[in-house]
Amino acid sequence: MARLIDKKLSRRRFLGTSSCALAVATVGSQTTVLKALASSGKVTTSKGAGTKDVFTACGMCVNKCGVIARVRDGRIHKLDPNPEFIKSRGMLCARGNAGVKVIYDADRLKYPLIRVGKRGEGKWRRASWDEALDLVAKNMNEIAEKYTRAGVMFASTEGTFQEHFFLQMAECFGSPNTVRHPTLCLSSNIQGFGATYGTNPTPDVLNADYIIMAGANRSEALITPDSIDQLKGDGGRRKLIYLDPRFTKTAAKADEWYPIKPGTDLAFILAMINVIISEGRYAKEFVEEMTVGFDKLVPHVKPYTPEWAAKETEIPAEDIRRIAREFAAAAPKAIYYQGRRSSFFTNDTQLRRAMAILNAIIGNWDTEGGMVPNSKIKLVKHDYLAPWYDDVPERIDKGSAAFLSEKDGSWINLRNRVLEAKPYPVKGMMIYKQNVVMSVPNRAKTLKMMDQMDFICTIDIVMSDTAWYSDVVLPEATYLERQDPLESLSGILPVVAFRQPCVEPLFESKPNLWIMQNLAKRLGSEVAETFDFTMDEHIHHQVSKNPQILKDLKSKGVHYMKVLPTYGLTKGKRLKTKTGKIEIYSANYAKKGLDPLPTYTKHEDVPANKFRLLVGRSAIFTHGTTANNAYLHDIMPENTLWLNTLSAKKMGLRDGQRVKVKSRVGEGTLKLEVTEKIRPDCVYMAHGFGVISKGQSLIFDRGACDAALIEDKVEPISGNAAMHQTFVEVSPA
Amino acid sequence: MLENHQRQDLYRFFARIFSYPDHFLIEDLDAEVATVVGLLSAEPPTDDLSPLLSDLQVGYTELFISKHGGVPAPPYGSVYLEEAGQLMGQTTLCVRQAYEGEGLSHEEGGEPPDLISTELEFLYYLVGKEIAALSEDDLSMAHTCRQKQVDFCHTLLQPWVKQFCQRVLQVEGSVPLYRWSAGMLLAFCMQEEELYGVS
Repeated sequence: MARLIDKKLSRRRFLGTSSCALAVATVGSQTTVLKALASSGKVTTSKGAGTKDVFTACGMCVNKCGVIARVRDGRIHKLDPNPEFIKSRGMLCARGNAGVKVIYDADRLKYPLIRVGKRGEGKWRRASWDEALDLVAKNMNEIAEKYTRAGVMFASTEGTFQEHFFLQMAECFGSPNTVRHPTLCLSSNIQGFGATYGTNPTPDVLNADYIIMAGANRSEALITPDSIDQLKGDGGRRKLIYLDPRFTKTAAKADEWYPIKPGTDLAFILAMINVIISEGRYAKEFVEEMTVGFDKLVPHVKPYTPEWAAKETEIPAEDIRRIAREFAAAAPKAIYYQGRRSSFFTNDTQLRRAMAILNAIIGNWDTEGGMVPNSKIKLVKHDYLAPWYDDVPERIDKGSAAFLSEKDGSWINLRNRVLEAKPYPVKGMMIYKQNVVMSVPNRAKTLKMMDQMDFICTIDIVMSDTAWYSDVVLPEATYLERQDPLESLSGILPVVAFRQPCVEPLFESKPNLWIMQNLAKRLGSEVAETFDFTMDEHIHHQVSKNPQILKDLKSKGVHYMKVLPTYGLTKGKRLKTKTGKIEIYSANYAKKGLDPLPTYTKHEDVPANKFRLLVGRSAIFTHGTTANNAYLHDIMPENTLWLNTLSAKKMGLRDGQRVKVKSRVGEGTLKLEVTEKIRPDCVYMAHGFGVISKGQSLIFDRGACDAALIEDKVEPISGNAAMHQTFVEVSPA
Repeated sequence: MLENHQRQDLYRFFARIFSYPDHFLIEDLDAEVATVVGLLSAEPPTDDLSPLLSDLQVGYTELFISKHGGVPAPPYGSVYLEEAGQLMGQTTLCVRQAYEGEGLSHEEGGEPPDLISTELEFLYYLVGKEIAALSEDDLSMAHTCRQKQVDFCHTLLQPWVKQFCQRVLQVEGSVPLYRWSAGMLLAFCMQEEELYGVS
């Protein structure tokens, strides 16, 4: 203690006004210059020290590809793909390469910040971790005391490897109100395929001879290994049919592209099923043995002829019929690819059910080139005993969707109930790296919800719009600075991924485990005890039943058990459905009053003088998280509004001019891109621009934000957002 | 022409003023400002330079840590000297090596070593060494120390410090103390350039 005081006094003196001819002050054996520099009297050099190659996993998007960080003189010089990482086929995309910029971004969060001005005004002061965490704990406890522990909601996102600890904090604090990204993304996919197969299988893209991709833009919305495999094919026999109102880069690589009328994909699939059944092209033995409810499907699809579907989809009947025949002929090495994001329309779960059923009747289940159930390498789970609290109500969004995920919730439903304080008030937000302001449809409502909060704390690496509207912002170390727990990535070829610190964290950023542990200490011993472990202990516990995993990760950056797929493991076994078979007819749905077989319903047509707003991805950006990255920003500095040439001509609008886009819930201004690459009744803008936070200096005031425009419509079975049911007006800005 | 001990005082002042403010600074501020005004024959600041600590901390955060429109004046050399304005560039390593060459270690944890206040602290140290050498009539050592100041300034500080100061001066509504200090640092750097030209 005495030495610490001495040191403080000495620093004070030398920083102070008294001049001193001696250049350094001696504090014990340590000599301090003024504040930041100290002398040992020995000349050293760090050149060459800290030069190493480090295996880690990318953190720029959901895929977590294997990376080798080339560290030179203690600084990350370059990121290279790990050729051993079979899931990404030894590849690293533009975003992965640009990861260096994440760590060395001058706009990154550096220290804990406490809001000083009004919320959203942008006035902050730097705080110590102790002060910031004390404030967070105080507010969490006060809200819990006043409104029950459910009064604090916990929003987080997937893909960070340290999200588990945040969810653990939510559970141990005692709030049921966790809300995650799936209902802005793939929850209807999980629900639709899960209801049919008991799982959401992976399409074996590499080995399929015939692939139909509908709205799954794999050349730009990158998913490994599919994005690479779709281009490889098997000996040139591959045929790719692509359905999308936009001519995307996937369309450019496809054999055939159909600009399907948005919202009619279900008609296309039902007509394909109609053709395959009526012409006896289905896998009869497989259907007999492995499915239930086929007998009910036969009359159900009778009205759904290609001629009927042609009127709905605007795809010629002869093409639908031919594609159905080709698809069945290629079976079982044919897949109707379900994609990942499925937050399109309010019937999305039924659409995914139809996709699952179409795949089932051609017998492509668990076969080469078909739909393959995921394998996963087991890691030992971290167990903890969460404290029990008596007075906590159920989730605020309970009952808002037919099949609501207890952990994920339904984002739009949850927000809207929080706004109404029904059935109880939620007054605190803890947010872990989810940019809710940019990603939840109807931004105005999200901001209104945040206005209602007594307290908001955001943990992130950048000053996102959500962080900007917070009261306390805590800087997490970036993925290149952290040791993360091991992550088992399921798939046809499952792997365990590894993330280790390539360099020390810059500034005062900390890994999320450290943040949670130090917050837990302030919330009481019961919560703190559940976090009483080190990262090293955690990792060794994960591999306690198979230490080879860690050895492989250290020596080659990835662990896998096989390099060739294994098919047919589920043959002769019960599936994880109620009947143990593929449920073409869902008695479970019938019991809940839902259509047990997918039934087509028409969506509202585009009103006169308006356009349907489509949202989508760019291969350069990951949602709203990477647009402020200087390397990526250089390639795509802003988003534009795609408008068909004919529509632009009719309206007297020209390429490059600025236009105003207005929906029922918001508006935005951005540059017009007049193009043939979109249907005349639709407009499109890339996600991730039009930010409110001026803390993101490259993209502030650039482009428009789709979340500000999209109406908050919800798919009722899974609670997923319906993001393609917003109509907009376009006018000169 | 400034004496060495005056130069050292100024380097100490600027290293201090561009560090995150604490209550010690508030206590010493009047005396510090008076010293700088005297040494640089400058006009005293017209604005009130007796801010509350909280105002100074908010002002520092706005200018150098987080602000509307991005950080207006990042206080790190590499942001100005490196392509794409990134932290921890090649020049940052050169700065660190310059410290190491003097037997100094950087004690600020995760802070990049080319933080403006740390570079100014380094020059304070080098001027101090020159003073110590002269007091011992070690002219060779004094010359070496001066040359190290010249080299460091010419290659690693002067190429960005003016731009940094100008950015601070351009931010409307920023805390007057920082604007005044940026102006003073500019003036001091010009004097140093003249001195190094002679050297």
